[in-house]
This record gives sequence, C-alpha cells and structure tokens, in this order.
Amino acid sequence: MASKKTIIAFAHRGEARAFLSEYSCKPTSFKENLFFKEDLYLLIAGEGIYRAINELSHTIGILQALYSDSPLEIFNFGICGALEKDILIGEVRKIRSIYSTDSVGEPQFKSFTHSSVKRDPQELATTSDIITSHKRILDSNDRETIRNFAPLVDREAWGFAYAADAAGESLKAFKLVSDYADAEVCQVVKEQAREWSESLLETYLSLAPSPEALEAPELPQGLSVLHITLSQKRRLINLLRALELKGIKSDEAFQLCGLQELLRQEKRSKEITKDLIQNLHALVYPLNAALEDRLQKQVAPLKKVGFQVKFDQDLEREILHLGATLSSVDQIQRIQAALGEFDFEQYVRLLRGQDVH
Amino acid sequence: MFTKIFIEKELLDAPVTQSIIERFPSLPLKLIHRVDDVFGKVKKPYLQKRENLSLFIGKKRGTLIKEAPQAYGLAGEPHYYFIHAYNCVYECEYCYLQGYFNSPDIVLFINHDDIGKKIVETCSLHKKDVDQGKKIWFHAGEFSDSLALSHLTNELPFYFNLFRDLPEAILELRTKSANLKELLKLQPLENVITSFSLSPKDRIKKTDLKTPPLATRLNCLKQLQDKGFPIAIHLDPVIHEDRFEETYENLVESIVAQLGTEKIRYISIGVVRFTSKVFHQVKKNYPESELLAAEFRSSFDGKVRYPRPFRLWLLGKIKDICLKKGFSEAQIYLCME
Repeated sequence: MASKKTIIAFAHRGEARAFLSEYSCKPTSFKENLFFKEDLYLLIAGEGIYRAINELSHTIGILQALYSDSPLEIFNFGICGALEKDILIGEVRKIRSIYSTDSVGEPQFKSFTHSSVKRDPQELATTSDIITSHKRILDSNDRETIRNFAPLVDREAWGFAYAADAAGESLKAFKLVSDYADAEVCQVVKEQAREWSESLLETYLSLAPSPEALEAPELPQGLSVLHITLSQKRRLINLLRALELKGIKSDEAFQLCGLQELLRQEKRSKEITKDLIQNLHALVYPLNAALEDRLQKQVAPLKKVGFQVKFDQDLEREILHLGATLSSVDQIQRIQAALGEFDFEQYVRLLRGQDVH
Repeated sequence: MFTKIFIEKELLDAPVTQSIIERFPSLPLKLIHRVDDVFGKVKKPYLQKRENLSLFIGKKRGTLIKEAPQAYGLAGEPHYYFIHAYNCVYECEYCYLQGYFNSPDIVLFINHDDIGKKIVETCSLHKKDVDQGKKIWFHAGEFSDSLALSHLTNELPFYFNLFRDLPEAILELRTKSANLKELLKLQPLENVITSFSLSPKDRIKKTDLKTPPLATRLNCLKQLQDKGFPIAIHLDPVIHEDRFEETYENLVESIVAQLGTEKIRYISIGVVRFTSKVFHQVKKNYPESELLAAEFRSSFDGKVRYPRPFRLWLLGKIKDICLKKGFSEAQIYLCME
C-alpha cells in the first residue's frame, strides 16, 4: 500500500511555527501556503471558516490527484478561546465534537465528531467540544449563546472538518486555549506564539499511530487461489464480518461452507467463488435461505413450464408475479395444468410464516 | 449523571425545579428562554450521553397528547401517548431514540397540569366509546422510560390523582426500570398499569446496556403484583437468535414461575424494527452489535426489519409458547403488526 500523507491545517503561521521548524518544511511548488517534508504537509489556511474550507479542500484535492493510492490523515492544530473559566490558559485539548454558528450567530445543525476519543477518565479530562464562530466573540451576549453548545470557541475548526468530511476523511483537532474570548487578544497571542506552537507540536509528537494507518481488511489467505472480482471481495468481507459478529471466525466459516469440497470441484474459479458466496450467505442468513429454498421449491413446477416467477420484493404482500411467452398450444396446456396444480394457499401460508421451518 | 442543567427562566422557582437543583448542587445551571432554543439545535452525537449529558427542565408546548399508531396497544379501544420527557438514561442498542432527536440530552417537561387537562379533554371526546364500555388508554414512556427518573420528576402522584378521577381511562407506565420507590409510595389503582419490557436474560446483557437485568425486572413485577399494582409485560423487541425457541420458552417459564398468569393484564409481543435513519445510527453507534448481522431487509415503507414471513413466524412461535404456558388468547396481542 502507498504511504499515508498527513495534512496538518493551521489558521495562522504563528501556530505552525514550531512544526515548520521541527520538520524543516519547504513550500510546495504548486501552492504557496502549503509546506511539506516527505509525507507531511503543513497548510496555513488563514483566518475564518471560508478560508478553512477553501484552502483545505484545495489541498486535499491536489494531494488526492497526485497520490490517489495514498490514504490521508488530516489534523487541525491551533488556538482557541475558552468559554468556561475552569479551563486553563495554555491547556491543549483534544476536540471531540465540532459545532458551528452561521453568519448571524445562530447555531448550525451540522456537526462533526471524531470517534477516536476514548472514554477513559484521563482522556475525557483533556477532551472538549468546540464551536466555530463566524466572527470574533467579543460581546458577552454572543458568548452566552454559544456557551450553551461547547466550552471552547475558535474560527476555523468546523471549516476544516467540513472540508475533510466532503473528501470522505475525518479531522482530528487539537486546540490550545489562548484566552477566555472576552478581550482583544492579538497582542497576547503574538507574544506567546512560539511557546504555544511548541506545546501544540509536543501534543502532535505524543500521538500514537492512528488505527486508520493499518491496512484495509483483506480476504483470508485460503481464498487466494480463487478468482474474485472487487464487488465479490466486498461481499465476502461483509459476510465474513457478519459471521464474526455472530462469533464465527473465518476458518470455521470456511469449514461450515465446505470450502475445501468446493475447491475440489471441477468448476471454473468464478463459479466456485459464486458458490462460496452463496454458502456464506446461507450461513449468515439461515432463515432467509430456508424461506428462499421453500419458496423456490413451491414455484418450481411453474418455472418448469416456462414461467418467469417473481415474489413481492419485500415479501410484504401475498402476491406472485408470473410472466410467460406463449408459443404453442401444447405449452398453453402445460401452463394451464401447472397453474391448476399450483397450491396458492400453501404459498400464502409460507408468506405468513407458517410451514417455514 | 448530568454535567449541566438548563432551566427555562420562568420555571426556575417551580418546586420540582428547586428540588432537582437541590439534588445536584454542584452542577452548573444555565437559564434559557425556551428548551427549543438550545436542545437539538446542533447535532449532538448520541453516545455523548455517556459522559456529557445535559438535563433540560422546560414546559411542553404544542401537541401534548398524540394518537398512538395502530397496534400500539390492545385492539378495539382508543390509544394515546403523552409527552412528559425526551430521551432516556438507558442505552439499548436498538432504541429508536438514537435516530429520533438531534441530541441525547434529557428533557423533563414539568407542566403536568397542562398535560392533565389535555388528557381529560381527550377523554371527553370519547363519550360514545365510554358508553360502549371501552377504555381510553394513555401511555407514558414513548420518548423516555416512565420510572427511571421518577424520583426527580415527582410526577407520579399527580397522574395517580388524575386517573383516580377518570375511571373510563387507563394509564400505562412503560418501563425497564427498577426505580419503584416513588411508585410504591402510592395506593394502587385498577386503571394504572405498570408494564415491563422483558427479553431473554442474555439478550438483555448484550443489547439493553445499563438497564436492570431480567431477574431484577421480574422481581420488580413481583413486588408490584404483591402490593396490588396491576402489571403487564412487553416481550419487545423480539430479536431472533440461535435456539430462539428455547430461550423464549425459558423466559416465559420464568415469568409464569414468578408471577403466574392470571394477574398479568396483558402480554404484547413485538419484533425488532427500525426506521432506516435509526438503523444507520445503530451501525454507527454499535458497530460490533449482533443486530448488524441479523436477517433484516429494507422494506417498501423505509423500515428495516425481518421479512414478513419471519416476523409472523417469530410472533406465532412466541404466542404459542405463551398459550402453552397458560396465558389466554385475550391476554396476548401483537404489537405494531
């Protein structure tokens, strides 16, 4: 598998300072606010939600075009304001859910949550939700309104999460609390920029490799001899996963499906794969398989005389669709006989759950 | 349990509000204009209820009583449910609440007088049914557990007093909770039925997270029965598994051994079902759940459930078990089918 590319998005150069220095990143040739070293990309997006969305979307688009086989991991590191006084200035918080307000300060419905937040007390103590505001929060009324939704506020996180989500990725965000969202803080931030950037870098360096870095699920070794299309692979993985949820591991599943017997058959590899999927399906969904079997047996005489037979798609209605092309008197007579012998009441009993097992 | 309490300003001085505040003296309080200004305004992930659950105290506005869907209760009589709370402290993997509201936060509505007036009004619309000897049913526990937070809400005495004067009506308190303390302080009424949802014990362990185990629920039913409270049972949701018939035989046997059959007012049987939105949430919230390997289909009406032949087979099997163990046909009804 191609190597993972990591994007770390920042709003301001000051936030990125320690990272740029640590990794000796150079500007890319194709985007002046994007810096890189090997597989690491540092984006300085600028302030505000729209810049965050635009710049990160652009960056993801370029990297996906250049490195289509490489998985992406996307971070946002930056500063934020605290809306609760029990959170200390200088603390770095892992972000769990990201909310937002719209341009008139109303909360926006859409939110983004990172599921990797562990629920142990130690991790929870340093985890917070955040709300991204369209404007700087300097007014106490604004502060009171958004405090209802999250204890931290910033200007970009939701935009970064939106861009990541649109590209099918998730965002991991870490924020350093720089103020209490109650005063002009620019000067304070400037003075503390180097120190705070280093705190953020420390946090990044302490992160364990993410589970997403592991390889995507592959099929067990035993199937390597078979010809398997991409869609069949997906189906097999889903079926094996469903069996795992039922407590049946792959090896046992293959045994129960008679994989070895299938492999010994003198059939084309494609057909063996099809049979295997069918057998696994019956193992995952035995009731469905039993019902399907009973229904097929019930309508077999109709199929034998040339009818195309269709059940109600959801099996909710007690109907049977029959289609035929009539081509001879003899055939019509055979059809009449088959219809006369068809036990519709028995068919309905099956659809009512009677005689199924 | 809670991390913050939001209170509608006009309800701050209400006795029940004050008693809740006294129970949680260290929690931050936030006064708001209306619950709707905050609750559900943003999409709060369902599983955040585990460590970041807020409590809202508010007034229910708009529709207070709703007509229940067909097959919600015993056939032949009108059924309604009333809305006294949103969300539940329990965490059942199949729960539809995970796809219903935009937030798992608990909302307690404390304007029971308004709800009571609506109940009386609704009863008056059914004079003809009452003259025919029918009862008008009102169900609690549609969007919440009826008893789990009853020690906070103190609402049970109000509803008991109300229904004491409404002999033509029946109140059903649907629950999984062992929190009987407030209920047991009251005098039983013939027209107030406490009904417990029951499933096989291993099923409860696997899917009814944070709820009392089967044995506890059965003990609660026994306690209520011994004190003269009318009881009922919901075998809901039925989820198919290996040895399903055996597990349900054992369950019904336990019920009969503990409670007998005659004094159980009714047993409803309902098979698990989801809207597609809820099923999507189940996949997201509980990716290891056995429910995701179940034999569901997406149906014409958007619901995700077993195909009809199975549903009817499952329902039929359990009904047969109940009849075999001594329950009568009149006691059993199939829920939502």
